[in-house]
This record gives sequence, C-alpha cells and structure tokens, in this order.
Amino acid sequence: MLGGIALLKKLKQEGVYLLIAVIACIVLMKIAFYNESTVNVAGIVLSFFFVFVLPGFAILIYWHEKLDFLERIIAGTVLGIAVIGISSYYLGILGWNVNGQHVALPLLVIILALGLSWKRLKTY
Amino acid sequence: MPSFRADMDAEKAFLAVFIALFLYFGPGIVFSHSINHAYPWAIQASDAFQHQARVESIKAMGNYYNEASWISAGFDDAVGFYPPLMYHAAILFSNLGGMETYDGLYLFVFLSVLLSILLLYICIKRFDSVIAILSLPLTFLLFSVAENHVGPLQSFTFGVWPAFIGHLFLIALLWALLNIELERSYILLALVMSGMALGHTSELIIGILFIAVYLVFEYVIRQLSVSKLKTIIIAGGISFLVSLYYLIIFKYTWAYVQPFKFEVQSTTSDPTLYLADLSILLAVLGIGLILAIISFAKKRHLVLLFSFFALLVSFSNYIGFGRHAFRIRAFWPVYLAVFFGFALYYGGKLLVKEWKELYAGAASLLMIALILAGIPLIPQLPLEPAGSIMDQYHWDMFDWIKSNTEKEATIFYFYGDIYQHNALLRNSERRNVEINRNEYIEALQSGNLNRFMNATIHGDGGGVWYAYRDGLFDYGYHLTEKGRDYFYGQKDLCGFEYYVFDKGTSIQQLQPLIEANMAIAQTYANAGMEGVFQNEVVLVLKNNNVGGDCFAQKA
Repeated sequence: MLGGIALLKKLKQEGVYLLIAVIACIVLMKIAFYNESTVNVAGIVLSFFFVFVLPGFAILIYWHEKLDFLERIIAGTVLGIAVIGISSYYLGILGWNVNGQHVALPLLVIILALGLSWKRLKTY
Repeated sequence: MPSFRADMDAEKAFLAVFIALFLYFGPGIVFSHSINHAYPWAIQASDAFQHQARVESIKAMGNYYNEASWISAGFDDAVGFYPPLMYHAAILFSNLGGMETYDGLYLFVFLSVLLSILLLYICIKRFDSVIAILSLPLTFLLFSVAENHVGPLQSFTFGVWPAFIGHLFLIALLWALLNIELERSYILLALVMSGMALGHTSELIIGILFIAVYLVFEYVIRQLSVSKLKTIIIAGGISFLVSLYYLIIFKYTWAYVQPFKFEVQSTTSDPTLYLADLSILLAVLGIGLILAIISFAKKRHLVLLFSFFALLVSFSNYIGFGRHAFRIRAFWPVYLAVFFGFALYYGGKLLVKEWKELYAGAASLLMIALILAGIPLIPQLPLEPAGSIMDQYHWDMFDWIKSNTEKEATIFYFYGDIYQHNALLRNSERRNVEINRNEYIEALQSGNLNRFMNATIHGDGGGVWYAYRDGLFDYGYHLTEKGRDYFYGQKDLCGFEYYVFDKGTSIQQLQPLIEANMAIAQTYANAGMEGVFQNEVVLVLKNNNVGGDCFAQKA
C-alpha cells in the first residue's frame, strides 16, 4: 500500500516534470524558429514527445530507481527512436501502412513498456 | 533516490540556454528560422535529395519493402536497401507534426544530433559534471565551415544524415555500457545495437570494435565479470535477431557491391575536418588529450576510453576505413568535446580555486560566445541561411508531373542547372532520363544534334546496382544484367512521353545551352508535341506520338 502511494507520488511528480520539459522545449524551439507560428511549433514539439520521448521514457521507467529523470528523458528518447524506427519498418513490411502508425504505434510501445514494467513498479 | 528538482538549478538553466543557442545557431539559421518550407530547403547536394526523395517515397508506398520505381530507374522490384530507421522515424514524426517529409526528416536529423550531444553530456557527467559542462562549447563547431574543403556544416546540407543517426547510437552504446551493471541491461544494449544496425550499419562495425575494446579494458582493470559477458552475449543475440532481416539485405547489397578493401586514403571529398582546420584549437585539444590521458591513468573511466577510441577510429582512413573515418572526423566537435572540457577545466584552475557548476556554465557560455563571434584562428561559423538548390518553379514542375502524368511515363530532361544533382529528379515520381550533358554541348558546337544521342536513365544504382530479390538469399542485379549501355547509352530523343526544358541558367557561359533547349522545344512543338506545363523557368512538353519523327521539322 505504502509502495503504491509512493509510486503514485513519483509518477505525479514526473508528470509535472514532463510537462515542464514540454513547455520549455516549445519555448526554446519558438526562439530558434521564430518565423514559425507558435501553434505549429507546439504541434511539432508535442509530436516529437509523443512519437519518441514518451515511448522511450516508458521503456526506461523500469530503471526509474537507478537513473534520474534527466538521464531517462534523454537516453529514453534515443531508445524511443530505435524502437519506433525499427518496429515501424518491420510492421510496414508486414502490411501496416506507415501512414497509419503515427498515433497507434507510439501508444502501443508506451502501453507495452508500462505493462512489462508493471510488476516492478508495483514493488516500488 | 536520484531526484530532479523543479526549481531550476545551475545545470538545468545552463542546459536550457545551451539548447536554445544550439537550436538558434544551428537548425534555426540553416532553416531561416522556419520549420515548414514550400519546397526542400537548405539542401545543397544530390545525396541530401536522395534521402529527401526516399523518405517521401516510403510515405507514398506505405512501407520500405522495395525501393520506389522512380528511385530505381523504373524497376519496381529493386529491394529497399538503405538503413531504414531514420526514414521510418521521420515519417511518423512528420505525419503527426503536420510537416512535409523533407522538413520533418531534416529537423529529425538536427534533433538527433542535439540528442547525441546531450547523451554524451550525461555520460561525461558520470566522470565529472564540471568537465561535462565545459565540454559543450566545442559542439558548436558542427556548424562550422572549412576553407579549402567541405566542412562539418555541409554534413547537414550535403545530406550525410544517416551517419548522424549512426553517431547517435554509437554514443548510446557508450551510455548502455556505462549502465551494464543494471538489472536486465541487455535490453538497453540490444536496442542500441539494433539501432546501429538499422540506423547506419557501418557504425555497427565500429560499435562492435568498441565493445571488443571495452572487454579488453574491463579485463585489464579486473572488472570483467561473467554477468557482463552474459549481458553482452544476450544483447548481441537479441539485436542480431532483430536486425537479421535487414542484415541479409545489407549482405547482398552494400557488402556485396562495396566490399571492404584496403585503401589508404588521406583526403576525401566528403564533409570532414582535418587537423589543420582546428588551428589554435588543435593546441587546446592536444593539451586536453594529454590531461585526459594522465587522468585516465589514475581514474580509468569508460568515457575517456570512448573518446580515445573515437579519435583513433577517425584516423582509420589510413588502415582502409576510408570515408567512414572522415565522417567520424566531421563529428569531432562532439567526440573530442571531453578533451576541450579537460583543457578548460585545468586552464581555469589557474583562475578558479574550486570549480562549481555555476562557474562552469558561465565559462562555457563565454566560450560559445567567442566561437559564435568568429574569433580568428578557429573554424568559422557562417551564421547565414544555407539556401537551397531547389526553387519554387522546379518544385511546382515536379509537383505537376507527379500529379498529372501517367505512372508509367518517362520524363526526359534537356539541360538544366540543377539537374546535375540528379537525385532531385526523383521528385517527379516517374522514370527520369537526362541528356548526356557533355555530348549535348559537343553536338551543339559541331551542329550534329540528332535524334539518337547518349542519355542517362537516372536512379540510385551506383551503390547497390539495383539489387532485387529472387529469394531470401538469392539476389540479382539489374545494373549488371542490363549492362551499362542500357543506362548510359544511346536513346531515341523522340521516344519519351514528356520533355522538360529549362528556360534559364544562372551561369552566363551556358546560355547557349538554354537557347538550344528552346530551339529543340520549338522543333518538338512543330512536330505536334503540346505544351502541358510551364512557368518562368521551365517548360514541359507532352509527346503524343512516341517514337515518331520529332526531328523532322527543325526550328
């Protein structure tokens, strides 16, 4: 029970950090690409987070006690790129059109990663 | 338990400023501070168009089982041979972000480079957090140019993009090895190695070499354990299985057509850095290297070993690694950043008794400012938009062709300035044939222009000879089967469905070629061809009598 509360607290805390990271990235990207509309910049940053950052972050949640947030978000994004890029390639060949993957595939990876880490998270 | 403080400490604040500067002076300037463009922007070589056209073709086909026919000289069974990870990742990103693939892919490449730097930063931080911060300014030299050859900035604009993905996973390999003692770390290692295999396979070979060096290193410092060996073997096994399908393609395409051959190469036409380019920085990095070696003797850290390894590999052009070594050199501003950090750290010790992250951040920003200010004796950053080979007029023409011509049609191109970067022709999404430029000039000079002349069927054939699959382990090669003449030999200039004529040139001496273009267009029109598209710079004619005598009534 205590573990569940601690986990919930940590997830909530890291959710806030993720939100801060998203907002910070939108601001930084808007500075660099000031000719682009804020709506476009926000959409592109959110897409990057959804397609690569969140799947990678979900993969590394298994090691959340050993790796800090910054390391998980940076290294996780690299792993997210690997998982999304590779699975998209093979799934495309197996018949899942790449144009139908951009929402479902990252979501699938997030759910799978969290599912596989669930047992460990429960014992936190 | 490790924690992340919401209140911005010195490190997070510095990283935010660093990222802002990196994005602003890197992709921001190259892209003219816009993400979305009306046509492929900041592309300055055929190689970059190769990736731009391929990513769009995969999107159009829905998968990368085969190359698109318009990339393969009209063959629709040529195998999809290029490492696919980058393209697929970029399609998902651009589809969700509402970008054209040419913008999405290019931005993805820049963000991958930023990730490489941040990941290396995380790794160096394991060694020393102050040196990690002090290392970062050197990375700005990724946007520098060289005086007498193509420099690191052209790695972006010339399209050496898959190599950047390889570098990303090579650094991720270092990170995974630093975490090898974590429970189930084979998952991390397997993902990274698979990323290398399908991201840029040549980096997998360098990665495997580094793993071998790592094992020797661990053995020497008596840290090699059975569990580490087991982790590497399991990870290798998983990544082998994950990559197997593509590795078979790689074996019968790249490895077959371009096998490793021992060739000492001291220069390259690829974007790179030479020691001489570093100028005064060479001394700084040299001092940093010596300090790092001294430090390594006491504190045998894997991060330092990795940088020594990268430095050595970047000179492997002398033992036959050729352009791959030069591409590592183009990434020196990242791989050698830790030596820069060392030099600043110990140099600063003369002024600062004890380094703190705050001081390191300030010193680092000062160094970035000096680099951006273009102080003499260091590689210079141009700090101006890259521009593009493509223009709105040609882009509109390609757009018209792919939307309005028959899928089986062949497009014939007479002289045009930009067509020498022939991969851009693939944007027509049709089979493309271009007049042999030299023969065209000779024919015009001698007055012997006639119906049958040499012309090139363009496509991505030089790399893997239009390899196609007869079975999983059975490949054929259209280039060798059809013979050179089929692709480069004589063609009937009346035998194509559409003809493209450029109406202008930016090179004054080539104006006669444009005049010849217009005269031929008139001849074709006299023979009954109809104008179907034109704008200020380009004209497209449709041939309704393919194979008829279109040269009968010369203009």
